[in-house]
Amino acid sequence: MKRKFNPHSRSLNTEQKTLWLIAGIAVLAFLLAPAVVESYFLRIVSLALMYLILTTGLNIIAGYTGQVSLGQAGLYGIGAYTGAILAAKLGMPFWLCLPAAMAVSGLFGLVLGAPTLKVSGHYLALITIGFGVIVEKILVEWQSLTGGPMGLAVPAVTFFGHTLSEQGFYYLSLGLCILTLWITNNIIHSYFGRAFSAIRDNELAASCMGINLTRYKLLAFVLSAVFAGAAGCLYAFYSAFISPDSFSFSLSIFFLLTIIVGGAGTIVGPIIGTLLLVILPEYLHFLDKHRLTIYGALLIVSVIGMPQGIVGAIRKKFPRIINFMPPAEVSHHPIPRNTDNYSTGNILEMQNVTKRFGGLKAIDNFSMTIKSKTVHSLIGPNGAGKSTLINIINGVYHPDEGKVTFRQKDLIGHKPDRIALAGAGRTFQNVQLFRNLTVLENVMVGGHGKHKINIFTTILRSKKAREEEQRSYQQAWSLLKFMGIDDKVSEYAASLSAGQQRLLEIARALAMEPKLLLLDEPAAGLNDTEIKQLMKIIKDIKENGITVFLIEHHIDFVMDVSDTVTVLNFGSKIAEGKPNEVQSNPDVIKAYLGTEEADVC
Amino acid sequence: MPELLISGLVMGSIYALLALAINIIYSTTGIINFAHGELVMLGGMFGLVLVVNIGLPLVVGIVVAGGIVAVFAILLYYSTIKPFGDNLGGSLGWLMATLGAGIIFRNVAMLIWGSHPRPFPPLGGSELINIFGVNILQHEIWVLVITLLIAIFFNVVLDKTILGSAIKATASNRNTTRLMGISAEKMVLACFGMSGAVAAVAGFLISPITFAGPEMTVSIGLKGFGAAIIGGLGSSRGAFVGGLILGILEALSMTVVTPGYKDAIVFLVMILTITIKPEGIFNVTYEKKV
Repeated sequence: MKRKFNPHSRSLNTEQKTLWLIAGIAVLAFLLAPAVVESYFLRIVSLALMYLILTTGLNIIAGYTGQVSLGQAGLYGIGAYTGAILAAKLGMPFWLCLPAAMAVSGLFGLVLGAPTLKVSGHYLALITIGFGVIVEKILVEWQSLTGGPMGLAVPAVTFFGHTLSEQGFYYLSLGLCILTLWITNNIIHSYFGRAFSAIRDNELAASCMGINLTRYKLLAFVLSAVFAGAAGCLYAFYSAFISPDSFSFSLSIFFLLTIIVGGAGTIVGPIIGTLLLVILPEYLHFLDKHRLTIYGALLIVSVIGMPQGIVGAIRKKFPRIINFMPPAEVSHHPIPRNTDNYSTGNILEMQNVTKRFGGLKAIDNFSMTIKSKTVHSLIGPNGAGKSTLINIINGVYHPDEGKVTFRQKDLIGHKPDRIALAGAGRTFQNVQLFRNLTVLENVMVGGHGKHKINIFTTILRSKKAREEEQRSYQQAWSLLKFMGIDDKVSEYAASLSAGQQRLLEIARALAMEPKLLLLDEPAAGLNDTEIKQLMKIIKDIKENGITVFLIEHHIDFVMDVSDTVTVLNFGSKIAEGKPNEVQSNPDVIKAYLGTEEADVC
Repeated sequence: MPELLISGLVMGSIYALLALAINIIYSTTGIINFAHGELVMLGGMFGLVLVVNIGLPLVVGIVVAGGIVAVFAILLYYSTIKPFGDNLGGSLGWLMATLGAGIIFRNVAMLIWGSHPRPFPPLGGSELINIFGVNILQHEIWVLVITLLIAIFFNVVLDKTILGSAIKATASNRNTTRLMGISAEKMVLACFGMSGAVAAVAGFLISPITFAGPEMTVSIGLKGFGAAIIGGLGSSRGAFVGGLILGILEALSMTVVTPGYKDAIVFLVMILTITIKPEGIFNVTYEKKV
C-alpha cells in the first residue's frame, strides 16, 4: 500500500515485502475482528472506519492538493442530514440515501472549492471555517427540515428486509472504507494524483505543464466532499440520531489533526492517524477531561516536530520503500519527434509587444519571429526583459499591447496550461520543480497532456488506464536515462544537485512533447562537462524537429548552438541575425561593454 | 432603529478591536494568529480574577491583565510561530499550531474556571444615559472611544513612525531587515506584545456584554478575522472600518432574519469578500513577479 505505482513489480525489496505483509495482516485482522472483540469496541472501530472514509477524502484536498480545508465537518453534516432527511421524511432506504448524500455533499464541495481559484493559505482556512459555521447555524435554525437542536431520528439500515446487525454494520463500514481507499489509491497513482501533488508543490510550474488549476482544484474539492458525504450518511444511520452539535468546527480540526499525525499526502497516513486518534482515547478514559487540550498540544507538537507525520518518519528511516523498477523497454531515442507539417515558416511571431510593470516598460514595442525547427537565442544584459519575454510567450504574463501568434494561432489571453497543451514547453530561470515528488514523477507530470482517460476509467484502473500509465512511465524513464540521471528516479527532486535539477527540468519539458521548447538560462550553474552535455542535448532536440528558444549568458555556448540570435536591451531589440553578425554589431558591443566615451571623462 | 445602529456600532467596534490586534501581527509576520480570540478570552478571564475576585479597580485591572496577556502572546510566538523560521508564507504549520494553542487556552480555561459564563462589571457603571433620545450605556461609549483611540494609535505607529517602517520591513524580508541593523526578533516581539495587550483590553470591553467565559470569543474571534480581511490585512484604517461594517451589517441583518441566522449572514459576507476582493477594501494589488 505504501509502495508507489510500479507496473513492473515482479521483484520487491525487503522493505516493500515487509509492508505488504503488514498490510495483509491488517486486512485480515479487520475481517476477523467481530469474532473476537466485544460489541462496544466494534462500534468504536466502525466509527473509526467512517471517519477514515472522510479523512481519506480530506487527504486528497489537504494532503495531496495542498489546499487546507477546515470545513470538512460541514460537508460531513450535509451528508448526514441529506441521508437522515431522505430516510426519515421520505422513507428512502439506505442504499438510495447514500448516493444522494454523496451527490449533495459533492455539490457543496464544488461551491466550497470555488474560492480556491483565487485564494489559498490562511484565506482559504477562514473561508472553510466560515462555511462550517454557516452549515452548523442552518442545521440549528431550519427546524422544519432538520428538527433544529432537538435533532432527527434515523431509521435503521435494512438489507433484504432484515435490519442490519451491529456486525453487519461493521462489515458495511469496512467494505465502504476499503472501496474508498482503493478508489483513492487509483486516483492518486494516476495522472490525476500527480496533477494534485504538482499543484501543491508549485502552482506556476503545474500550470506550465498543461495542468488546468481550476479544474483540478475543484475536482479535488468535490472528491473530498463526496467522501465526506458518504461518511456523514453512514454516520447518520449508525448513530440512529443526529443533531447539529455532532458537526462542529472542532470536529473539522480533529479530522485535519488525524491526517497530520498520520502523514498528509500519503495513502497510509490517514489510516494510521484516524485509527490511532479514534481508538487510543478509548484506553485513556482517565484523560477524558483533558482530551481536547491533548489534541491541541498534539497539533502543535506534530506540525513542529513531525511535519511529515508518522508515515514521513518511517519513510525517512527506510528510504528504500520507494524504489521504482526500470520499465521492460527503455528507448534510446526518447526525444519525441515533432511531426508538424510545416517544416518551414514561423512557429512563433511577436508583433509590437509591450509589457509594463507599474511605470516600468519591461518590454517596449518588441517584434520577433522564430523560424520553425531552428535554435533561436535571446541574449542581453541582466534586467533586459528576457525572462519577461518567455513569460509572455507561455501566458504567465499578459502583454499590455501587441500580438503573439504560435503556430498561426493567437495566444493573447490564454492561460499557461492552454499554451502548454498547444505545444510550448518551458524551463525556468529559477528552477521550479515539484520538490516533494520523485524525479520520475516530476517527468511524468510533464507528460500530463498526453493522458486522455477520464476519472471513471482511472478509478476502475482499466486495461486502457494501465497501458497509458505504462507509456508515460516508460517515456519518463527513457528521458531520464537520456539526461544521464536515471539513477536518481526514486529520489525526491529537492535532493538533486543544482545541475541535475536543470537537466530534470529539461526532461520534464521534453515529456510534454513540445513543438517549441523555451529554455530560460539552462546552463546557469552547470560545470564545463555538463555544459558540453547540454550542447549535445540541444542539438539532439533540434534534430528531432523541435524549435528551441534559448535565453543564455554563456556567449560561447550561444554562438555554438544558435541559428539566429536576438539581442535585447531595456526591453527593446537592438540587434538580430546570425551569431557572427550579432557578435560584431557595434550596438551589441556598446550594450555589453559600454562606450569609449567613458575614458574621456 | 437607532438602538439597533448603536448596538451594531458597539459590536462593530469590538470586531475592529480584534481586527486591529490581528493586523499588527500580520503587519510584521505576514501571518494570522488563529489563537487571537482565545487571547481576548484570557483577557476577560484574568479581568474577572483581578477585578471581581481580588477587587482591583477596573483601570488597574486592565493594565495588569494587559501585561499578562502580552506575555501569553509572546509565549505563543515562541511556541507556535518561531519554530517555522523566517519563511512563514511557505508552510501552513503555524496555522495549525496557533489553532492548537487556541484549543489549549480554551480548554485549560475551562478546567480552571468552568464553562459557565459569569457577569462582568461594565466601565462607568450600569446606568443608562440618554443621548438624542437614545438610551445608551456609558460602557458602550467607552467601547467606541477606546477602539477609535487604539485605531488611531496603530495608524500613527505603522504609517508615520520609523518603528512602523521597521515593522513593515520585517514582514517584507527579515534578513534584509537584520542587515539594516534592525533586530527583526524585537520587532516581532513588540508586535506580539502590543497585540496581546490590546486583546486584553478587548476582553474587558466584551465581557460585560457577553459575560466572561472560556467560550465567549468562539464566534467573535472569527468575526475579528473577517473584519481584518474585509478592511484589508495590514491596514489599521481598514481593520477599523471593516469591524464597523461587519457590526452594522450584523445588526441590520436582524431586521430581516431571525437572530440565529445572523452569524450565517456575517460569515457569508466574509466568504464573499475574501473570494471577490481578498486584498480588502483599503488595499490594492500589484501583479506578482514570477
